[in-house]
Amino acid sequence: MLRDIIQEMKDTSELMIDLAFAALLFRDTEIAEDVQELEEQMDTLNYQAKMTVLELAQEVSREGLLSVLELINATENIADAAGEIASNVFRGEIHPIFKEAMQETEEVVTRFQISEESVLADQTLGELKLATKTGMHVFLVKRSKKYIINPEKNFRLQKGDIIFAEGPPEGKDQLEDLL
Amino acid sequence: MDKRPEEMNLKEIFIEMKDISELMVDLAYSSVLFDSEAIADEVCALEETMDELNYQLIIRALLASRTREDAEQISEILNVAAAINDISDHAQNISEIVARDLNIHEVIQESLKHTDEKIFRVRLDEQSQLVGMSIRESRLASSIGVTVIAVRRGKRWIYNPQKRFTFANNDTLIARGTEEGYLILKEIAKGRRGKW
Repeated sequence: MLRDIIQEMKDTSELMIDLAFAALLFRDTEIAEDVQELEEQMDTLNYQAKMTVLELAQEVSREGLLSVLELINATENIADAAGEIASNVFRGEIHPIFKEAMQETEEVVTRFQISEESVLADQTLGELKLATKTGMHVFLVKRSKKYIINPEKNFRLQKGDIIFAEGPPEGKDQLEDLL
Repeated sequence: MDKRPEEMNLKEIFIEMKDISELMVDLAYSSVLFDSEAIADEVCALEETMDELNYQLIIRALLASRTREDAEQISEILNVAAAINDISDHAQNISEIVARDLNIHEVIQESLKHTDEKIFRVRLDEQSQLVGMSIRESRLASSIGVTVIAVRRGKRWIYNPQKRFTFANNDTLIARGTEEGYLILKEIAKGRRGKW
């Protein structure tokens, strides 16, 4: 359904931005590769969305369909820009100013490891309600060598997991206190 | 923004650019969701600020690089800033849907209601604990995961309200957060929930 495709495109583009900054901040080429894979998914979604719009244009009124095309294009382009950000990881070191700046923005990206004693271990993301309790949104979990992108609510954290989250600086402090 | 772009250093400009582009994306989707020309106009105004910031960033970057290594490292900041600037351009393209008065297809509004991060609108009742409270005191961002991106007070709009901004009765808040965050904020706004 067109509605679901647009929704997925917006979610994916925003996920890609979080991942792209995380890739660059933590110099992680695997995350950057994940961004590239998502970029390909976005291309597929983009085609699907446009095909659906063309079909609708034949069947029903064309009224309003231009707005859909404009929105799809913009969302796709935002995703491409996320790809651009991530691709810098494959070049040399970035200036230290970048890391400093990334600590002072209104939304910050952070990563930390779940320790043995952490209250977060063995709980699902749904149970933890980190988003509503700390404002931090977990967009990536690294478990040994595996990367789990955009983990679902029923995802259960384990000790040793490295979680990547994005949110306000106060939320980051609260999250650290939880550990 | 407390300082003018020409008075800022490289780091400050970069921070401002990232914050503004994220605000622009949120506002752009809001303008389409609520079919609001006022919000679309703000996106357009922010785009001009972005262009100025981007220009000042390039000047700072050129002045800061003395060696080849400096130049290489700074060129990546320029790359990232260029991508951030692109994002703001595309945000403006979204708000152009409203600015150009295109008919907004209902599928757009429906899909925006189902995204992971949602944008929503709530109005503060007299009984709400938020009335008279500043954004800093409210701790909405870190306590319920809701970021206020704009406030409508009477006919006036306040975009990206700062921490010292104080909520008033009848304010309409445009905010971003999860579905759960939205449900909590709705209760707080109606005065049905006093603690969060």
